[in-house]
Amino acid sequence: MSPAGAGPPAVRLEDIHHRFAGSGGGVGSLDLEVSSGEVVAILGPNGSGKTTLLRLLSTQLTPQSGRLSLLGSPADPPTAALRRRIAFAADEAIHIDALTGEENLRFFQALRGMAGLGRPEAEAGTDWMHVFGLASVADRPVSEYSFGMCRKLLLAEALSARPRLLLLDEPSVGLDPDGVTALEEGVAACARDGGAVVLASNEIRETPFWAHRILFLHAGQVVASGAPEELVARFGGRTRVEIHLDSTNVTPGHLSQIRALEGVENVGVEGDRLEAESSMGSRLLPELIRYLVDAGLEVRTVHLRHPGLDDVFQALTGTRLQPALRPSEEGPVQGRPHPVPK
Amino acid sequence: MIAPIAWMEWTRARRRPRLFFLNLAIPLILVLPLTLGAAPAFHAAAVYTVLFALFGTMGAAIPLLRDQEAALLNRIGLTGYSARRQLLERVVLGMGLDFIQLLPSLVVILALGAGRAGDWLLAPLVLGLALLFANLVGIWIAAVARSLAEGALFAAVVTLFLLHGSGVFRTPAPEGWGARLEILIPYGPLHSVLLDVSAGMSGTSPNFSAAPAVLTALVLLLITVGLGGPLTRRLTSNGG
Repeated sequence: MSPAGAGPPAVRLEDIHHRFAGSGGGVGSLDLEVSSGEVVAILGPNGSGKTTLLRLLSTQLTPQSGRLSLLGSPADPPTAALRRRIAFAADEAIHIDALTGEENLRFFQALRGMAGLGRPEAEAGTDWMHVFGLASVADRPVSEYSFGMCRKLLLAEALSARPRLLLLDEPSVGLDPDGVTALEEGVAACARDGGAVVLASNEIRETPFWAHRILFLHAGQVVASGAPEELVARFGGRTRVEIHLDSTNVTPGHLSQIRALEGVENVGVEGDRLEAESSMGSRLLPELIRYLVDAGLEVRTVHLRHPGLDDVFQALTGTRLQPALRPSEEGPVQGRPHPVPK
Repeated sequence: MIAPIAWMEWTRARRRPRLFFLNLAIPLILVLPLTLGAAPAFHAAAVYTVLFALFGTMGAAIPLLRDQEAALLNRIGLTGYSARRQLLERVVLGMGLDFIQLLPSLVVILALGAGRAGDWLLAPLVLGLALLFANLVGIWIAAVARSLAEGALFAAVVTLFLLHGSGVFRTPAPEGWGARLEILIPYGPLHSVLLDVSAGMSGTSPNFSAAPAVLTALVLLLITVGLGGPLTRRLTSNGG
């Protein structure tokens, strides 16, 4: 899946260590390689070291120890030429309020030596303004922009730099669905163009779709790395089935019978809620529901939750990246309630 | 675009007409009562010089600290733009903007004063020199300060110290190191010309020569631009 490019990796970290005095936050003993054209998502809870890692990759921080190579050359000290090939969209959208959106974009392009300020003809940046839906407000001062518009402008600026290394910190924060789609398009375009993309997020439900590889960070250490499907298959556990019944009359005999069904594991009941784990995914459901109906236990709703990256993270660290989903957010595929007709 | 930082600062100034007008009007409001009243020339000239020097120093330090606190300096640094060029553009543009905003006040002083015809040429030149120096000092102050409040405080203290060193607050030039220091600080020539204009006579400062002060400003400019990398690193690390 990973489109590893030829030549040296875009990012190479060897035993990188950078800890902040006092808080103890940061990263330690970190090894990582990212190829050209590859999209790597770093997932981890707050304080896990994601932003520190991005700041190291953006050359904003110098590692306390270890070797950091970016785009084939050592990153310490960072040269102007190296920095011009890296774009970092931080979690905070910093702009010059008095300038318009387009002027901001042109200004940051000019700092990179890319564009002549005031040139009337359309340039690469304008395309990204269109993609992010900012074309109609491009001539308005940024002081009039909403938070989400500022985030979009920041991403348009980063993408218009045509970076060889694109760094995104919490990129989907503040974006509407169209913005998320534009971001996904931008990430894909950058990778297609041979750029490496490293993004950090704790928005676990969206990130995996963009990434060739997931890197779980916990307390500044990599706890797992791999393709999303591979990680889920290795560490994600089983599909969970939650069935709400019309009555609370589930007897130990019922539970024994359910346990005897093929693919059922770890059955439990609490009030009117029956929970089980399935080693067969959703294929367990027909037989299970047939048994319940035959046993006179009327089924109100069935929720099926396939293992996801959050389960992987929980399995590896014992903590969840995000609050557990409520039943109303779950479902057969992405989490919709799935009422079973009686 | 040859100078994006200067372009950005200039556009910012144009887009804030109220601030631009206040920066132009407030010095005038301070200068007019002195020029129209019967303020003793020595006091009037000292006040003008203090006003112009503080205007230049704070006008350089405060925007830089504001950009530092907004993390804009950090963002600019990550684009790979030359730190030296950035500082040079900020100094030149800052000096230019200060000059434009102080020029009406200077014209009032010259018009209502009783200087020689040559003062009309000399006064803008020494004002430009003083503002160049003040802007450079402002950059160093911003590099040392850790907040806007600290920047304002340091700017006031350092400027008053330099003004004192340049002889603005005393009548006769002292002997010894004080005299040598006096001619090196670019506020001295400005004060000297303003004193001549206010006193209505020439030659108030018989040893007037702007050459050492020009040299000081140029050396400080070279040092500041030469140390552009460490200075901007210091500025960005202060602001986080």
